[in-house]
Amino acid sequence: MNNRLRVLRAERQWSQADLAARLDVSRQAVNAIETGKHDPSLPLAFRIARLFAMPIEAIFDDGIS
Amino acid sequence: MMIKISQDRRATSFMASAHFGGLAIFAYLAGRMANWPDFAIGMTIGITLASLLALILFSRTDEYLLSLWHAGVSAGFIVVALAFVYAPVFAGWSDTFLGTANPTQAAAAQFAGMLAILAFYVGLHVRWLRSRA
Repeated sequence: MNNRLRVLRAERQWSQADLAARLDVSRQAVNAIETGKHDPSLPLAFRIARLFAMPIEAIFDDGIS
Repeated sequence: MMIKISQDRRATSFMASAHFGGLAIFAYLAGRMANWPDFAIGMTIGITLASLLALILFSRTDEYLLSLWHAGVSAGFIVVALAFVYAPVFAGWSDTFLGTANPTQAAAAQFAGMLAILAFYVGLHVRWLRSRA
């Protein structure tokens, strides 16, 4: 699934490790999500959305318009 | 006394265990074919078991590592299921060519277990490689 996680992270000048610490996941998980190789679970998607203060749909794109 | 290990440390430990365990199981199979000394074979088994224990302990670090664990377990289960069905077939086929002086039933059962562990590590690493950029 496409997402804007890398862009949002870069805007705040966070490293992957910084973002991982804020989300309470591993840096490997953040990397896998950013590259679209791993889709986050619903609870993690909500945590990401709350962290960036954006709706989930503004961060993740399932390609269905 | 509980020792709190950071998320990153646990993830690193998980991946290190996966890599070492994968190498150890390949070393075990290579050692069996090359007739390594018993202590060397024992070491590979020990490393594999220690790796599996570490993977069990650290698999729940986060959902991504859990998905790697599940990929490995699924691959291992498929091999176990196939071995359950085809091990007797293999044993019968092997006995036909080798003769019943060297029955293969026990060897097939032992081999199936190691194949399942090997499949577990292959499944985990395939999932890991496919999830990397």
